[in-house]
This record gives sequence, C-alpha cells and structure tokens, in this order.
Amino acid sequence: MTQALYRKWRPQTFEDMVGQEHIVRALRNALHSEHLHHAYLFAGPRGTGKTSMARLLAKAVNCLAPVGARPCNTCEICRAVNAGRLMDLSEIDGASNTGVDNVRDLLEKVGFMPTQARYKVYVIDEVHMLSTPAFNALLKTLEEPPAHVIFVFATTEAHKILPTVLSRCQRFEFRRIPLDLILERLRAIVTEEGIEAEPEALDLMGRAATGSMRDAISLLDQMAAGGSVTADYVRLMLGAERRKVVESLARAWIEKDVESGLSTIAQAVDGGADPRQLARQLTDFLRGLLLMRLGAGAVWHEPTAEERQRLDALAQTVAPERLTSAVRMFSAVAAERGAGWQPQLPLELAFVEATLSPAPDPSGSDPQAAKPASLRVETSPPPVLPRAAAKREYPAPAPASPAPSALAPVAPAGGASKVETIVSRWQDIKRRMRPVDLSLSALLNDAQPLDVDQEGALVLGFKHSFHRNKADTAENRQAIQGLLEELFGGAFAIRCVLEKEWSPSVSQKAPSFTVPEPPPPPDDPIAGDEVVQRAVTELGAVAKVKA
Amino acid sequence: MHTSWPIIGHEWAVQQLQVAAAREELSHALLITGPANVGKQTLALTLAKALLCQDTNPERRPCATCSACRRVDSGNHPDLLLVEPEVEGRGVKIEQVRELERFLALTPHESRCKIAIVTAFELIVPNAANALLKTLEEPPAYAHLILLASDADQLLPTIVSRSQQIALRALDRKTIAQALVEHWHASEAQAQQLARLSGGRLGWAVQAITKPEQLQDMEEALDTLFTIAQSDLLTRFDIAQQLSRDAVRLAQTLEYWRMGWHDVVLLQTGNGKAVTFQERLPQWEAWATKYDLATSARILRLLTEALNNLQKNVNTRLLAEALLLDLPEE
Repeated sequence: MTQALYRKWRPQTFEDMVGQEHIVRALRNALHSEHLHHAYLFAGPRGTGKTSMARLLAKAVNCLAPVGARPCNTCEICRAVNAGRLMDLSEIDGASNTGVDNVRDLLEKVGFMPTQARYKVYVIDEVHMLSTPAFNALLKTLEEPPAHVIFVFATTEAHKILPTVLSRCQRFEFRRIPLDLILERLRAIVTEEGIEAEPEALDLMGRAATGSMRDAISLLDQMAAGGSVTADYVRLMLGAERRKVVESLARAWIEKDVESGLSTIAQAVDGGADPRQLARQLTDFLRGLLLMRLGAGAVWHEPTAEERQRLDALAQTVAPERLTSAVRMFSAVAAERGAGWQPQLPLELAFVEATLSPAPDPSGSDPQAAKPASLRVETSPPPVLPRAAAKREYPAPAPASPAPSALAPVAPAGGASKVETIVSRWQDIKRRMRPVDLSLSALLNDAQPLDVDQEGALVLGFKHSFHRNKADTAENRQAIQGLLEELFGGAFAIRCVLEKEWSPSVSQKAPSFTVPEPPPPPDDPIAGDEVVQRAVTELGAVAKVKA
Repeated sequence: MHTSWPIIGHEWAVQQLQVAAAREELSHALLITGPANVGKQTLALTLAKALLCQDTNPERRPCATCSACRRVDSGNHPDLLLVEPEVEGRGVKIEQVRELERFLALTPHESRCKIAIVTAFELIVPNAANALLKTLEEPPAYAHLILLASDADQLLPTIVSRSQQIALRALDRKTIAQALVEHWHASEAQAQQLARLSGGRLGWAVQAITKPEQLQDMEEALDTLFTIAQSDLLTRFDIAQQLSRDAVRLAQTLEYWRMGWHDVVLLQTGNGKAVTFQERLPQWEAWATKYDLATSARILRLLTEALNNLQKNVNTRLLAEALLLDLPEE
C-alpha cells in the first residue's frame, strides 16, 4: 500500500511548516537560547500542523547537528524520529488512553533518564480526551518535571482542558492556513509527485479545505487516484455547483420568483448537487452581494472584474436588511443537521421563507413585521416585476384584507403608542398576572397584544382557539383590565381574538362588536363546547360557569 | 477495460475506488457518506471483496466466485471486520472500537490487507470516535478503515479531515426505475411509482418490493393527515395519542406528511411535475388553492421543527398534540 500523501508530505523541517510562522519563530528562538519550556500546548483547528510541529520539536531538541541547523534530518536521532523508532519519543493517543491508570504508567517511566537522546519527549495527542482524574494525576509532574523531560500536548479543543493544566503549559495557537499558502504547497506536491492538475482544480481543492492543509492534501490524493486532475472532475467530486446555479438562485430570490427558484434547486439536486453545499454557496454569494451593497465589495475576492460590474448592479437592487435576513436563513440551512428524506427540503423551505418575508423593519418598532399576515408587504425598492404571481398555476388567495401596514393610520391616534407600551411591557404584565390568577397568566402566554380597535379596546391575539375560548370570560377580562389599570392608569376594554382571524379591517366593519359587553359567547359560553359536552355525558361532570 | 462492479448508479465513486484498488493506491481511511438506504454498505462490502479477492488479475476483482469473495458475502472472512451498533438507533460503543483496534493490530491472516467497516458512524459515541482518531490517522500499512455515515457534517471534523470522503448522492428516478425492472422484476408502473417515492434511495425501493408493509404505512400516514384536516380538537387529541406511542413510527409519519405538504408547496409555485404523491394529486391541489404559500411554508416549518425535536428526546405525546393543534382545520 502506498502512504497517503498527507503523511508522506508531513513537514520535516521548520521551513516546511506553512502558515504558522509565529510559532516557528518562538520555538526556534527558544532552541537557540536553550530556553526550552518543559510543557507545551499546541491548540488549533484540524490540519494546521500540531502533530507535525510536535514531532519537529522532538527532533530539534535532540538533533546532533549544531544548534542553527536543527533539525538536520540526517543525524541518527532525526532519522529515528522520522522512521518512528526513537525510544525517547513517546507519542501517546490521549483519546484511547484516557484513564488515570494510563497516566500513572507514564509517570512511572518519566523519572528514568533518556536512553539515547538528550530529552525524553512525551507527545500526548488529542489531549482534551483525558479524564479529569488523569489530568489531575499529571499536575504535579507537569509543574516540575525532571530536567530531561518535555511534554507536548496537542488538541483541537483547548477549552476542554483544565485551567490548572493550561497555566503550566506554554500555549501556542495554530491558525488556519491562508489559501495562497495551501495552493503553493499543493503546487509543490503536484510537481514533485508528477501529478497533472489544472490550476483551477487546485484552486477549488484549496478553497474546499477551508484552511486545513491535511484536508487539501487528502483531497488532492483522492482526486489524483483517478489520473490527471481536471477542474470539472473536482467539481463533480466535491458536488460543487457552478456559480451559474447559485447566481440564478440569488436572482430568483431577489425577483421573488419562487417558481423558478424551486425548479433551479430541483434541477441542481437532480444533477447531483449537495443541497447543503448549495445553501452554503448561496450564503457566500449573498454575503458578497451584501458587501457590495454596503460598498465593501473589494473584500469579496471571488468574482472576476467583468462579473463584478454585473453583480454590483444586482446588489444595488436589494435592501441590505433583506440581504442580512436571507443570509441568516440560508446559513441556518447550511448548518442544519441531518438530511431527512428529501435533502433539498430545508433549502427549499428557506428559499420560500426568504422570498416571502419582508426585510425586518430597521427601527424594529413594528412587532408585527415577522408575522405571516404581513408577509406580502413589498419592502425592497422594487425594480422587478413579481413574475411569480403572474405565472403561478394556483394563485395564492389574496389576503383577506389589505396588508396591515396600509391600514395602520386608521387606528386611533393615541392607540398605536398605547399598544406599543403594552407590547413592550407584555412580559412584565404576564409576570404580574401570575399571583393574581395563575391559569389566566398561562393562557396569556399564548397571546400577544395586537392593536387597539375603534372603541379603544385592547385586542389580544391568541394562536389557538382553545386558549382564546378559555380566556374570553367576563371574569378574566376584568382581571386583565384591573391589572392594566393598575399599571398604566385609565380604563381598557379587552377583546380576545384569534390571531389568524384578526385584521384591523374587522374592527371597521363591525364597530358595534364590543362595547360595552364584549362579543357574544352567546348566553352560556360553555354549552356549545364539545369538550365540555363530552365531559358531561361520558364522565358525568357538572358544568357551571362561575359568575 | 475494467469489469464493472455489481453496483447500481454511483459510477464515479465506483470508478474511483476501482482504479485506486487496482493500483493499490487506495487510501487507508475512507468515509462513505450519503442518505440512508442509498447503497453505502453495498459499496463498502464490494470494495472489501475487491481488496480481498484471490483472483490473480487485479482487473477482474471482485470475481464473486473465489472462496474469499464467497466468505465476504457470508460474513466469514477473517480479514474483514464489520462493526455495527449493537442496538439499532444507537451508535458503536468504545468497546467495539477497542476490539477494532485489536483486530487491526495483528497482521492479515491470509490476504494482502485487513479491512474494518464501521456503520452508522454519525451515531457513534463521541468517546469512541475520539478513540479512533489515532488509528485513523496512521493505521498499520495493511489496514483499511471504511466508515459509513449519513452526513459528514455530523462527524467530528478531526475524523473527516483524516479520511477520504466519498459522498454518495441520491440516484435519479430513471436509474432506480430501470434497476427495479431489471434486477427485482418489478412491473414498469410499480417501478415508476417506487422510484418517485424512494427519493433516490434504491435500498428503500427494494425494501418496498420485498416488504409491502412499508407502502401500507405510507398510505396510512397520508390518510391520517387528511383525517386530521377534517377533525375537531377531540379527535385530534385521540390521533395524537395513538401516534405518540411509537417515536420511530411517528418520525416516519411526520416525514411522509412533510413530503405531502412539500407537494402542496410545489403545486403553489408551479412545479407540479415534481409532486411525489401523484396518486393524491386532487387533494394536494385542493389544499394548494385553499391555503396561501405562507401557510404551507409555515406548516412545513412546523413539521421540520417537530422532526428535529423528536431527535432531542422530547415527550412525544406533547409534541404530537402541539403539532396537531397547529395543523389547519378545513
């Protein structure tokens, strides 16, 4: 079997370590001045060189060459490390040897002098998996180990390590490796290994690696197994979608054309695209548009000069708020776990929602902004015909009333501000209701103050009819009124409605609806209720309305 | 030319593995991902066969006739270890990973290499996954580790970065329908229907042929969805109670409902051709005109959230009741 490229190309000298110059410099200085610490912690994301650096350090401290040339990779010790047979270098799998007994074993041997080299080096990889007792057993030795011992811990999750361990180590943070350095390395490997690869293919792999050298080299290894590496092949293997698809999706979203958006998604998925990757790319693309819209387009490196002009024009047609909310929705899809039966469904759903939802009101003053009822409000500067509506086979029924925002001025002048104060203190009101009437306060959890109707009654919107019916009794209304009077002064009438049935127009059509004795739960509010009826007939309950 | 492996679809993956295996350049750690029933294990076992096959000509492997191939089929090959969760729905445990490490520590009995396949890797206990890290990075020269998972994003990034990922994707309808007719002797109409329902998963379609209950379950779930639309509060509570008895089945039911409402959204947006449950088109059409797109999107969101919550070990009865209360009434 051949060795994987990432193992074959493990950096063997400090010069080979890419992208971690800050660490290399510090370690080299320590080597030169012989100020070696006895415990190091290497932390950082996967594939950034932690294990490689640990081995390099083991070589460098023990190398027989003059200080400046270490590690020489030619002396006996360096060769032994490279072949994995130096007695004095113990590389321990922290995730398999997690227990305190494993650490005790290790500690027993720490006291012995090195057999061959200057220092005994203990590299504990994946050290975050050690159990707490195991860490604690290490503490004493870690603080003051024998002079010939160096500990190196490597981990991707430094936050899981006890503070008492952290404070005993010199900590080095490994950074993600920048794209150009990854590409440079890939090019070097390609030349050396005699692999034929298109530059664009390397570029795609480098981007897909997101800063992890091992990922990049693994990918190259995988792609090269099939012969020469072409960009098309890499795209196929990565399931990477062409920019075209992403751009047409973004356009469909901007133009609110759900039909073409969904069919674009369906086509891409049928063609073998990974929906989540598509969501990720769409997020990236929209983020780019957002940057352009805000005048920071230069930060977005991907588009070529000619694309830039076109995209900039596109970006100017969308409101930044709409873009931010869409970026949020699509990135949620990209992060969502588990694909389910129809892997494209989360993306489609996000697309529909992103198309329907208006941009959040920048002032944030309208609590109804996110409610489905007002979904149709056009908020972006509309340079575009709503094609979707024209093409749809099944036109969505027009909302029962014009969009609420259009009607806002109808509400009594003082009403809007009154509602706002109540809305802003709604949590507080619910809390204060608790000592007064526990079950009523629970019912209010389902409610939201919506508006003040023509008669000045406060409209409470409930999500479920069950809750509405329970809350809508004279007694409960009085309790709420009492509380509101106490808090805000002045009298409020209360009206309980179903949120989905409420629209401000109702209050116009039926001006006599409420005052003074509110809506007809006809004579007996419970007689018509099936739950009560069944309780009476089947369980023998006695139904009574408390006055 | 290479002889082709007995695998339907996934040609690119097969080709890549075949070339690598024949040249003995196969990576020591493979991660095969893809939705359930898409053919991950079939691919892994075929690859194992190709590696263990005794045929002298590498291009003819797997020959399916030599004793090694036959022993892989019967699960008796000494150089192949299949690590599966002990309990369905749970992941592989750390003891099993240790056993795997012991298995790989010894040189092969009779073949050129030793192969360990770990299934349902997305469910593996985190400690067990961590225990595998070192072995996964630098296993013995003769070892091959093949991990099967539904989705790379659910795994530790340190695992993914150590392995070569082969991301299998759902097959297209045509391939599935054709395979069902050719290999499982389905009628053309049945094949078309199953191909549409399977969502690109051949394994599911094959199961549906061999186990008709599966289709019945689906029909039942959709019937329930229509019943709910016409039911009042009390009936809904009754239905919720019945549904919540079996969490696995509830998840399956919700999945079917979600596909149903997805059909409604497709109709509302003029993508009627893609509808999954063509047989129930009239009902979807009725809903598509009755509700607006915002409503159907909201219901899809509700169903999606319910499915997510189900995985978090919530009270199934509460979940079912809350969901049924939110479904629209006719």
